[in-house]
Amino acid sequence: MSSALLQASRLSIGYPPALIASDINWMVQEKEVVAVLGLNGAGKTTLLRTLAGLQAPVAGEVHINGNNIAQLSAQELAHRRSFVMSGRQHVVGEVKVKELFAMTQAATQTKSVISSVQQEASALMQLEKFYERKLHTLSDGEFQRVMIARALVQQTPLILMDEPTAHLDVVHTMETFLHIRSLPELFGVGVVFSTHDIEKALQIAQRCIVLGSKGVVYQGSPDELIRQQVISDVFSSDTVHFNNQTRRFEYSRP
Amino acid sequence: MHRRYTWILLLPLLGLLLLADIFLGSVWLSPATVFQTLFEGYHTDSAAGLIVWEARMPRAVTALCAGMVLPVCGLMMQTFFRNPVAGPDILGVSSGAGLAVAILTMGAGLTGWTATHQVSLILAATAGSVAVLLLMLVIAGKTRDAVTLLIIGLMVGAGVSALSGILQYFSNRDALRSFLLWSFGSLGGVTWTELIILLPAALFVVLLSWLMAKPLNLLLTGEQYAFTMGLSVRRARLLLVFVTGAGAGLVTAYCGPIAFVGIAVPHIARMIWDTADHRTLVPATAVSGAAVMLLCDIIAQLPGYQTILPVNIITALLGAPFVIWLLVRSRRINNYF
Repeated sequence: MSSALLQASRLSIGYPPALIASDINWMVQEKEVVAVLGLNGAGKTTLLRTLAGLQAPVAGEVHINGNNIAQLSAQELAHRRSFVMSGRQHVVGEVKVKELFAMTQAATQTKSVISSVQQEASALMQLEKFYERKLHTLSDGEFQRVMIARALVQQTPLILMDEPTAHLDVVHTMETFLHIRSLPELFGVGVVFSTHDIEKALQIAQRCIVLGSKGVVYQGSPDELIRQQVISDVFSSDTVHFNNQTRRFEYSRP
Repeated sequence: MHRRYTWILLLPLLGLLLLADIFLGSVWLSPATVFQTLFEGYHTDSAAGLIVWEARMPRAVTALCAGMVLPVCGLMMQTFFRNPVAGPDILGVSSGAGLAVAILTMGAGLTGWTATHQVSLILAATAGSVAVLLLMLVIAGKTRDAVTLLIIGLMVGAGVSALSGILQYFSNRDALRSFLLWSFGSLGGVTWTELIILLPAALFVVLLSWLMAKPLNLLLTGEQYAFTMGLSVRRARLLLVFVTGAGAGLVTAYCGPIAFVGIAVPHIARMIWDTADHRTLVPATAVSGAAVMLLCDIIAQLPGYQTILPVNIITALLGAPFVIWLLVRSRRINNYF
């Protein structure tokens, strides 16, 4: 067994008896940035939740650093992967940004000093001035930056992000993608993220997994997927198509 | 720095309130008399000795226990139900304890079986609280809306109280009288022999809650995030239900249902200490709860009125406006919490 950062073997996902995709064989290497793409309902969230151990696979196995996650405790999993959920999850109780970081640290690390990771993550996400702010007073973009920084504070080799740019405006979306791309180099982490922003994902991801219709799964580098017409096949309709030359979505001429 | 000053101010305040609760009472004793009685050690052969050692002291210690435990239970419930106005009396937990006590006191009368031993009373009240908590937990899994959960909690409380009502209707006069007295909620009537159980048990519940601070912190972020940060959610939830149920059951068994301190005090602690971290909030809530309870008890037996009001009346008089203010301030409870 190779010790890829993340490995899915003969993985089937879904909510039994409904299968969303089956027989996925897939690997993510260390410090790799991988995008999960697919139309609404294609199963991006289900895939990410299964990889995170938040729900059990219908069949097959997920390994992180060579360990089958089905055999890991919640605590052991927390040392191996962190998660950024889609949209704005309710954090109750008027928690401050610095308290969220402290709670994450207390839960997942033994030493209680403020780590350099926390300072670096806050610096990258420009969060220092938000330390004393309560989470529910943050804007959507600020909240998402806090949650990404929180995942870094957890100090795992793998970060899974479910639509980290959902509900963000164009500036914050572009900034978030920029941050994601810089994470492997700055923090030594691998990132798997899902998104609907396919044009941007093709620019920043080293590899992509595409969940097509009827449970067909494609994978490859952005260049390969474009050349093999996967993107233009999966993401098209009567009125919209993907232009393989400009790598943009366009309206089809009537 | 700020937090340390709060502790330095609050702990002496708690001591002062404890003394005030012993020095003041519906019967006027001069401070000199009380001092002398205290220094003479435990004795009941004088009127002052009887009042200080057998009425005021146990009462004050009971207030201390109830004041620590109920708010800490409220704090835990607010966190795991993700609801700012959750509390033992709101979600029907006290009613559950009440029904269990009613079954024990009045049902015993009906069957001719006498079981009013205090341990069985505590166990029954705890079982009643835990049963309602488990029921509310199942319901909470089906609704995400904080307001819906509250209304269902009120309904469960009403239904459970109705069951106690049936028992009351069929029970004899003596059993009914003792149950009704209990249901007013009172800090008096707990004896030293009972305090030997109540005080250590209360401290134990607070300690257990404090040990649960990390899981409670993680639950603030929601069960999914809590799991991704290493929390075994199911186990944590069960532990919390049993600690909360035992705490609420314990106090309710001895003092009857005492309203509002459970909801209100955790918010006071959040405001004073300006934190959401349970590592601070649990001890902060316990200490401020004890202070609030002693204050309520002092008001309940102000000198010159000859009678002692049930403490429940005072907690409701002070607590209800506070909770209303809290809700108005935050406008929408779903948003606030």
